[in-house]
Amino acid sequence: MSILPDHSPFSSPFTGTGPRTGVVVSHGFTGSPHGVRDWASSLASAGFAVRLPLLPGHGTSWQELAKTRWQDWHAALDAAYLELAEECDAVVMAGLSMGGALALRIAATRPVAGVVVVNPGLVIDDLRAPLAGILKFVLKSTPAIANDILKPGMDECAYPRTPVAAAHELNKMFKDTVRLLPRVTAPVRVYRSTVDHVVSESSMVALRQGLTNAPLEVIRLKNSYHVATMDNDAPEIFRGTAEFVRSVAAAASPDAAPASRKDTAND
Amino acid sequence: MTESSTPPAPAAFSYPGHGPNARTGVAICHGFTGSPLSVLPWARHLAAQGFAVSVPLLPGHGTRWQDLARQGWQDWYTSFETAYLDLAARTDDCYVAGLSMGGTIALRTAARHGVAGVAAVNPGLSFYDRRVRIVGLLKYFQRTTAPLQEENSTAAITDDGDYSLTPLAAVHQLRRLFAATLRDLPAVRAPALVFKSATDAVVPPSSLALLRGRLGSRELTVVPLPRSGHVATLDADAPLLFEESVRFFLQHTPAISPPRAPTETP
Repeated sequence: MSILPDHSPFSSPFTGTGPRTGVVVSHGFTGSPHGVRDWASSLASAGFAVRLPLLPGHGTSWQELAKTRWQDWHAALDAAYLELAEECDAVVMAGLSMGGALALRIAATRPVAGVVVVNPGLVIDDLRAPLAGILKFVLKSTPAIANDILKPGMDECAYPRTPVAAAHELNKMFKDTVRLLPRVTAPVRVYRSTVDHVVSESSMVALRQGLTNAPLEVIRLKNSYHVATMDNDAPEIFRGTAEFVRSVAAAASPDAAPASRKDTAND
Repeated sequence: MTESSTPPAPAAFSYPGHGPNARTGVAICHGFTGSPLSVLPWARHLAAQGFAVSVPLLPGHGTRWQDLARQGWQDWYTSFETAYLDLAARTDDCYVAGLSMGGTIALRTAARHGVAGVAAVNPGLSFYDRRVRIVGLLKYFQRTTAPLQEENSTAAITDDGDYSLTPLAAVHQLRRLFAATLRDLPAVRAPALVFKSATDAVVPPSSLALLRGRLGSRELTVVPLPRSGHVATLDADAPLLFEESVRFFLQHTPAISPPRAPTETP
């Protein structure tokens, strides 16, 4: 199977029944919609409205990424959220890796019904990370860990190199997101690969410590590496995400609320 | 019996703990018609890691099916609760764990005591067999039923005594235990770890859905076991189960820092 990368954004209207529910999906750092396209289209097939934007500086070259700031990535996802919030009763945020951090940051600043993240990054373990702000003036880029996928023949088509200036932006965005985590109150589901060569357990520790006001469910993925949305457990993620979105939308939808209140009153 | 050594008899298991994990306890509960043998490899793995471990033998278990019919669900619950309280008195942080009905009992213990966390393997909260709805009546007409058996099970076999029949009176007690635990689930505050086998002919998927919907814990971790049947503690994924449970116990014990914890978290 040859893979022609499709970096274009993806968008789909609500076609289901019940509460009008939308899902905003975010790709990861140096990646593109290619790595999460099947996830987004599975949610579209399930009837949900879907937006999968191409984040600024992504899907072209790492040199382009070096020119962007984390606020640009965040603003692109926030715009997608606002679009869906306009046309839907409930919006769920989803994201892979850095996209998970962005999804959590939106959930901390906007009303969302739930959050589904796959191997979210919140901490950079690279010892050089604290120095990236200085390092970026002398070192333009560093080799990336791309294609961390257990399933053979898969290619996430991310950049081969990581711009140090962008890594510095990433670090700032992670710190800001960790600071805001206690503001998240919607249920959070995390798909977490047992073996992940990109995001270490310290991101999970930060997530667990930060989410003091949100219910957290972690589902372990045994047969996938970091890019789990393209890996062996992808069908399980797709099926489970649709189920999760349906359940949190039912709980959050204004139509469902009066009905359930009536039920309790009759009890 | 062959000339090889006699198989281990069903008996309670207890380990005092050693090393840095010695102040962390794990009380493990076996399942309905089972015995400590069904969770013994798990208990031994935790003991080898230095945890203080206790696995009581529940009343009516480990002997013969006729003994099971004489016990109420409170007898099973109290027996495990006592073992937990003993262990909790000897440790700083004490976890509860269990297989199948043992997972249910562990969850109920977590709802009523300040456990550090709860780890449950295929915990039962519902039945496949719809006749269980009328078991309270049925037990007067039919005394026993054939035990549930999984086809092509890959789990190791243990000799838990003669449970070739299942008393319906005991099934009725099991149903009442499930109902009592469902009522208590919102009171569980401790982090929960649930293992779910891909092919489980004993506990239906609705049990996990019920748990998700009612558990009061802020944090629930679900570990799917792709290659295991109901008795996952003795099945192909047992090493994964042991490893993930140790990870969970270490991560949620405040005294012990988790592996690779960041030192300068903002």
